[in-house]
Amino acid sequence: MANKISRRSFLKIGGTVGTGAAVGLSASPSKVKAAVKRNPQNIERIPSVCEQCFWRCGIIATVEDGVLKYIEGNPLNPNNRGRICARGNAGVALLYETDRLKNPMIRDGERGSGKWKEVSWEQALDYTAEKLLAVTKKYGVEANALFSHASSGEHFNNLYNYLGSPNQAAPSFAQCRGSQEVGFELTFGENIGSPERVDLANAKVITLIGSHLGENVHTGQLLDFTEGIAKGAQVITVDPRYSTAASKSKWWLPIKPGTDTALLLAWTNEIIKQKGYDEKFVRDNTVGFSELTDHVKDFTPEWAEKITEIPANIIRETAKAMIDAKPAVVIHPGRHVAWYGNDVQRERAISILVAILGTWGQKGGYFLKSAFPYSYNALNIPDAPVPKRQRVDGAGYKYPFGSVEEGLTQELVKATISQKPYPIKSWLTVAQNVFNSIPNQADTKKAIDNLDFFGVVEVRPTEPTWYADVVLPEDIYLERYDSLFTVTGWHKPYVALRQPVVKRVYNTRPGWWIAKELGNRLGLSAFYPYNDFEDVLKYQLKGSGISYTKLQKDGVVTFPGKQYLNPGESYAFNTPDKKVHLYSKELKDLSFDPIPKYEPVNDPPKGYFRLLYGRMPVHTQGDTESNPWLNTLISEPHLWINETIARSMGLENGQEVNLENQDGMKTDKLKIMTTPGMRPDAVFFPHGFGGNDKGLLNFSRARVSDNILITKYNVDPISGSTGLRVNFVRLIKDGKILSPTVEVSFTGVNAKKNSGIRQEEQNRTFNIQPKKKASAIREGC
Amino acid sequence: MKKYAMVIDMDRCVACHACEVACRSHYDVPVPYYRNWVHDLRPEGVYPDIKKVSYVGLCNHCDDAPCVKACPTGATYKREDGVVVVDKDLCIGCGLCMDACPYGARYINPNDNKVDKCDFCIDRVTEGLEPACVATCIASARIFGDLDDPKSKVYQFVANGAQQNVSDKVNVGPNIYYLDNHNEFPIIKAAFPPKVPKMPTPQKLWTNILRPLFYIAIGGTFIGQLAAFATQLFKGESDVKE
Repeated sequence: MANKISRRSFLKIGGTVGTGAAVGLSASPSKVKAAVKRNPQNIERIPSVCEQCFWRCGIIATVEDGVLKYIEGNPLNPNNRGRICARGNAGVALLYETDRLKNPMIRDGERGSGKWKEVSWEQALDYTAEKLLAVTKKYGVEANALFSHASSGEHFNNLYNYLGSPNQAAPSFAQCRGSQEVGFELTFGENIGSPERVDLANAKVITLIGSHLGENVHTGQLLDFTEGIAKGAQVITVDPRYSTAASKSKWWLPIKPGTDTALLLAWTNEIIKQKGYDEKFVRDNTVGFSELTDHVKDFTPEWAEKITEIPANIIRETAKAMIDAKPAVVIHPGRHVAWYGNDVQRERAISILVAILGTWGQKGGYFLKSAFPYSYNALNIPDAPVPKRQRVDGAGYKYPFGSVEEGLTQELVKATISQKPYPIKSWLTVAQNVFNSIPNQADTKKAIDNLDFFGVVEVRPTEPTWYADVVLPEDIYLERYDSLFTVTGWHKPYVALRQPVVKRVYNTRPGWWIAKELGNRLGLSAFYPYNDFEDVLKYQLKGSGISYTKLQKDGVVTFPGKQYLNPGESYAFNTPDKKVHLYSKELKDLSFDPIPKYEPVNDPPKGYFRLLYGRMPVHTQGDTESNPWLNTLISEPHLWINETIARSMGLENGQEVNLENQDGMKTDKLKIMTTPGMRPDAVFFPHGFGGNDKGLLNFSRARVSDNILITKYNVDPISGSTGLRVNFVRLIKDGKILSPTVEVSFTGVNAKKNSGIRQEEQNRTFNIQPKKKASAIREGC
Repeated sequence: MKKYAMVIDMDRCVACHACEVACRSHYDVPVPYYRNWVHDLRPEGVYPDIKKVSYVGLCNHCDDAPCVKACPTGATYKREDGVVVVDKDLCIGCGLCMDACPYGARYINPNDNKVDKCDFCIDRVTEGLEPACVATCIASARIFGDLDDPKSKVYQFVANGAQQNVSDKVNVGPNIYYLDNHNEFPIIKAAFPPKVPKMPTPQKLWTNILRPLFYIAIGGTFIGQLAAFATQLFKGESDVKE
């Protein structure tokens, strides 16, 4: 492979840290904290908002004499009701973590050489602005592209809007929820938001098809999910892998990967055939029911059994469970839905089921978004200019439902490689690891090679920082203000405030400040009529009915919302005809299927497995693997593989293998976890590892990422979102390619009962409390 | 009289590890040690009947606590409310209590070389708060309370069949109970059986306690003599006064 990124070269680079600017102190968080006096003089409890992931839980930080001691959940915040996850608790370790970027740096050698010089903020900002202006002068302002994510991304989106460049993209659309939002918007005229408005606590049946809630710790939903289970909800989990959710389920349906739409259509068929749908809702609120009925008439459970490998009787049984429980049925839309490149249609199929079961606005179903009763003061700033040239990623035209707010990252990469329709010559990435979020790392590298300027705003070193011309280190969420978090789509709508809980630890700055300072240098000072972001927040709230002082003190203000429709109450759907579109004329007019069809996906070639991936509860994407408190829990990915298949290849649990994908891309070694809870035709790779930036990080980590193997992807023609589950891998041990020698049938279904568990495999070793220092590798994921 | 206990609801627990990190944070527990834990087992069984369980554990605050008996200085003791605690001022870090503990719930903290373990967050509980692991638990899978109070949740769960991690060989009256509706607890008991407490032997007392003390005494004598010699060197021998 001529153009693949050589992992060796990554490592080589990693080994030659130049000035060591980013390598820091060796103090551990527990030592920093333990250094505080036993009887502190001043104990403060400051509420704020977490950002160890995108869920944005309310937190309260306990600070003793200026040192952050611990973080707890804010009981007043409805999103997490006083609870926080492992990552939220480990925010303390991030604050004092030595891996953080601590000073602005300018590259002092070839790009990628790892040679840096520390500079002042003035120098770093002047340098960045100078480069952006040079690109603007030579190629036009649109040649400056932004890759953003997270709360701080917003400040830079604003900056690029003021600048007049439409070329901005975040992975949260094209590599995550994009197709889910589009699918539901097409059906209901509105998306189901983030957090998704699913009433798990009151559901009688919960269907998870593409969600591994429990391993993805979305706090509010997990609170509701476990509450629902405790209240007796029956769970149907559709997953090729025996997930944590599957272990809580009445039915585990180990579906053949890529065939979910067939199952959804068969459920629709069965529900219509049994007259199990909500007749009144369908009659009063939907268009296209007869077309739907006609469309699904051949998609029987028997038809689906052949495709999905789920027995027809189980499809009927689970359909009946949903019929009996309606409207208290949650069919979770999933969140990371960028699977096969036809994902809008799968999400449409889910939304159609949600509609015909009449669960919209019903207790135990999908709840409603509330109206926001306050209005914020708008800053007195000029209107942002209208971009003179069309965005290069095709969002909104080539991909008609591609998000123009979040853009299409992979298309922006492609345009940077081709320099078409016009040159893209600078990138700024903000809190986005473009190597681990966007598929095909080689493309990303190639695009960066085409740039005149590449700047990175980050809190810790990531692969992109390694290539950056300038590194602008950002305050972490515990040190900064951000915009208000206004959430209307949750049980209790609320506004939450992020505020600094401690003084900054290193020479970093908040995102809003970096954006404003760049703006000032780019001739945009009219857009920044303030010196302090807190003043912006106060100004926004003035006369709004929300007290800033109360927000400061409590961290959150809640307001009454309306979750459910009253009996007989109608709902004006936000579509032109105010109806739910089971049949989508909008899609038909654009020559797409108006009702979802099942489209087969390729089977793995002989000897290969489909590469599936997903979350672990203690890590967020690639953001947390170096957090010492989280790394000690799960420090490396273990590849899930069917135990019978593994044995047939001569492999035992815990052994190391290399993976190679269909394009010849190989990984370093990683351990396997053998289990009967994995389909024989796929392997599962926990996502969130594989940083290649060895030289920048203080302790060893797994250097294997699923994204190394995702060289191939499809693009959904409707949303422009990527399909990432189209890669296949084979296993290599000691240079020898392994091939399964048995066939394993996987057509049974686990309908929960207490049955015989083998007890012979008791010679496992576990990590019992180390007496002295020991490695803390846990089994499993 | 109170008798504190905890119930782990295995139906609710999703093994998110929040409890473990909250504890680390509240008590500055250095990596890789821990005061409470979630050990994840891989999904096992015979397809399609599979179980995926995690062992949630902490100090069991045993009624007949072997660690209390093993402690040579009285640093480890059981309070009247049932909580087993370590008095850091008395602890000499000999580690005998660690050998005695059937559950691996103790470690020596390298920051002060004293034994550390879960104390049910007794300071928080005294203030009317929940233990840190309970307060953060997203799944509400950890239930803390007074086993002597029939109105308490823990009492009711235990009355309804919550089980202890005990075996035919080892039963020292642990006060952590597991609520299991799906026959999952046997997997945990098999994978993590309580260890037979290793009580201090005369040999152990010699190697862990007396010998170090002996060396300290010898060392002390030697240093004292050295100091006296140095003093003599610098100051010269003083006249003996009668």
